[in-house]
Amino acid sequence: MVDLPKKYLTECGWLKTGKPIDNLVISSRIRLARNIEGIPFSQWASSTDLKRISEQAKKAIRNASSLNNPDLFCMDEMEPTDRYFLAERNMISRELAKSGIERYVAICKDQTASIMVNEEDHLRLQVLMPGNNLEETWKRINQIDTDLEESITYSFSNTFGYLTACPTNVGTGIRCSVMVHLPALVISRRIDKVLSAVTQMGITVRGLSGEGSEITGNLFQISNQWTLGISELDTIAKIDTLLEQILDQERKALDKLIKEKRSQVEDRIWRAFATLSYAQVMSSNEAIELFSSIRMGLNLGIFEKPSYDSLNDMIVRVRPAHLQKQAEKTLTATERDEYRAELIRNWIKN
Amino acid sequence: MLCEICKKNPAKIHITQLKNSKKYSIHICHDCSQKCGIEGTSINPSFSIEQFLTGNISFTKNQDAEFNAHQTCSSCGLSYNAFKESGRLGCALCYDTFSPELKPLLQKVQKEVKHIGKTPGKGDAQLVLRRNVSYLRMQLKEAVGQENFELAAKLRDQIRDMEGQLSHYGIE
Repeated sequence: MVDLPKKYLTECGWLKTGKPIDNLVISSRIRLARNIEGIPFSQWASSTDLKRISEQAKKAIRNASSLNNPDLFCMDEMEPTDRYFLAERNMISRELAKSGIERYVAICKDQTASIMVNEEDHLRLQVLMPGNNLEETWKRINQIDTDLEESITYSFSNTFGYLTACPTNVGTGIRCSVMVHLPALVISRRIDKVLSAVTQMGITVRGLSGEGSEITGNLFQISNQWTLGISELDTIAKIDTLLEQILDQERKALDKLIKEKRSQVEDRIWRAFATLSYAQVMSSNEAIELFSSIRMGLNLGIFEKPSYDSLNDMIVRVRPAHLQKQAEKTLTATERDEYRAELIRNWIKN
Repeated sequence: MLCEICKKNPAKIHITQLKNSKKYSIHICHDCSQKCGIEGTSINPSFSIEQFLTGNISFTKNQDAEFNAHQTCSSCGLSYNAFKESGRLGCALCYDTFSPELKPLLQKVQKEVKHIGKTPGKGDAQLVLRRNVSYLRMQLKEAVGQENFELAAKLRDQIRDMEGQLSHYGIE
């Protein structure tokens, strides 16, 4: 079995706040779906084909200068906790974490880029950056894609674009998403109205962990649905425009809340602080909900600590696999809730 | 509104389903609803609009569902039925094999059935640059038309940069 290097516990590039600090947008992410010409898509590929794919992919990854010699992990050589650890920090999907033979991930040293091999598509490239930064994220992933293409011939058609296993990704193969924190719209019960008013065709809003996940901690992911008939730059522009409208509504909702219900808002924030400081047992959902109030407190200048960096880091640190890596042992669900509460109490104290 | 399946009769039945916090809606006529196992207000519990959106294509295509369902890709051997069940195609050639069935589906879930954007330019940096310049020029024209001058200025600078790179290759 291959152990995850220790640095994975302390560093995570995309969780650091951008400069200037963006109070509302946590991160920007772009992924590209690509397949190698002449080999069936991974789901239907034989074991020989899966090996051909991974061999070509590994060679291309090694040769891509923009990836700068990344760490490479094979799923069937890793402990489940390590695989889920990588999924919790969005370096791989849960599907890849569940898989095994000939399934790989290459992760850049700063943990802002990763390439999954033999997931739904032969290659799934992704770049994650802090704050509201789809433009830079696109530049980086575009370079990685171009570098990989030096060693790989992608499956491509003039009509359908980059060919993917699922027709919902065909064309550019791009999925852009921004993770936003919208507490004031949720508290004032305006979120549904605002999202349904501004969300246009081809755009979708989801929870923290992407597809199929619930909304937790007032964190939302805004992403594109269309990949065919619209260019990468237009997709980004569309999300950017929509994001500005949502953020504008959030700022207005916050101003109104503060004007009309300041004491209730502050009460909510301090109660969250008190619970995090003293609770003995805590689920990860409760923690993420309470972190939302702490973030609001930081935004309103009620607290100076913790830093946004540290708060972002805690959102992943309180999840099950992260807890077990920190405790250096397997924990039952009850033990995890106790350990999580302890970890948070110590974090708040410092 | 016309039925989304046969595109002939007026849509009388409107179904909205929530799955994994995603909302799926369809609007269909009485005849087509019966073909899908929907009677009155009772819906077969296994009925899923998500699957249905994938599966309805065989109805739209000349009603020859049987033929389409058993059609297989000559390269990977995937049957159209297997695609309908999994929602995943087997290989690149499936896009050609199932093209008549896929196009109506893509029209529903995508903006247009014509790729716009990056294209592979393996080993030919000049070609990629030229393609990008012509694409950006198109965008610039559009930005000026929409009086989005901030974007236009950005695009103009990008074009200048790329033209500068092209001049290294001796291409204007």
